[in-house]
Amino acid sequence: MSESVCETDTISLSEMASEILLNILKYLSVPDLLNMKLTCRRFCCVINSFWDQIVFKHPLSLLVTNQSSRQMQKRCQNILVSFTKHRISNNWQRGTYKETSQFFKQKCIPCFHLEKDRFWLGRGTYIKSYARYRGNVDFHYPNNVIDRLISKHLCKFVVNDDLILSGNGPNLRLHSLQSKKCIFNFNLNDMEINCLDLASNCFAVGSRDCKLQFYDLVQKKYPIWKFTNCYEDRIWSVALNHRKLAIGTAANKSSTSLIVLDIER
Amino acid sequence: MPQIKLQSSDGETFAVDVEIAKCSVTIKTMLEDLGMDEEEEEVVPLPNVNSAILKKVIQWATYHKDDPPPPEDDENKEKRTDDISSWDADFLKVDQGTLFELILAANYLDIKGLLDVTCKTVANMIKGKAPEEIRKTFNIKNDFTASEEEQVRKENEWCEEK
Repeated sequence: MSESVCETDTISLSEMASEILLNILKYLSVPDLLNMKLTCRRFCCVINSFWDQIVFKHPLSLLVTNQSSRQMQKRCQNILVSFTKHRISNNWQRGTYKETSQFFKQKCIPCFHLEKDRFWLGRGTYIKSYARYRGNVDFHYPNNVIDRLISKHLCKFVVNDDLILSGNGPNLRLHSLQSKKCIFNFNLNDMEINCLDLASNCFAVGSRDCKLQFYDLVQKKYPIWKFTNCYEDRIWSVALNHRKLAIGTAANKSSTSLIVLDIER
Repeated sequence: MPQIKLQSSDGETFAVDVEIAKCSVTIKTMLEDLGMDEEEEEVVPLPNVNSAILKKVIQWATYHKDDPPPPEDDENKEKRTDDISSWDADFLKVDQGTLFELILAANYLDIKGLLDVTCKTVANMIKGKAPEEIRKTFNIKNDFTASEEEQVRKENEWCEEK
């Protein structure tokens, strides 16, 4: 087979007509095509545009949007190159139909958290994490277990890097994953915790008695109480983002269901 | 056996058996549609093929004249590239420029067997190589900016997972 370097006065591969390039590309596997895409703009463009013809040998009808309007579907089909269409369609199909698990068929899942390589599950008196590989969760061996939580009514937990904040009945706990220890344990006057959120340097807790408590987290270790707000309704959700704190309430007595606070620090 | 004359772009003529020349669908159609009389010695001009390449094409067609017609492309069958005969492999031990010109000639003359084998040969030169090695082999200039290249790399990721 000739491996000689192309002479300058003759035709080169990147100058070939697309029609002829397709004749060559159809013999390549997907990994080879991806490498080919990385060589130059021309090949990237040709492979993206004719992806379905090269890989599937015939045009595919791809699911590129979940819009039910036919007009919108048609418009998307025309805008996108076939490589992009295939990628989006693949994402829709994988996300919507393919990932199924029957592991917890008969038991409820009160709280979970999904990371790229881990799936966290909170139930009963424990929080466990399971390894996740290529979208599949391996439920056989948990790789982190936080147990001996007191109440059976685990309400909620939040994972943020090394820290897990859990609200278990009236018990608020902060766990460090690295040291595998509970670094903070606090009882909220026997009031059930409804919701909580954890940022890198603070956290907020909403409880059944209409109270919201806000803590600073110093050196990612030491919580310092900052303020408690009392509202008319039970607090069902909290969300922290930088300097903003959003609070969702039942809005039975008051007319406000959403409160957003600017946190001064 | 009746012969026809094929004239290359640089004016050289080659006398070829009609049956051999007809492995090119382009020439076959020309002879049929234009009603070229096989008894007379017609000269068929081929302005897109030079004499060096035409000589190679005739050599290939002569060797393969008794081959069964190539099978139609099966859409579901995986394309193989390791089924090149040793004669073809020897025949295609040429520089890249000649190989590409043979592809262009096979495409223009519509000779499926020759087009398949030449394209497979090029595909084999790409297979299993990293982008930089492919560029080196075919003297391709990397015209991506760093951020564009990163973008393509990102786009490729979903595919590699499979």
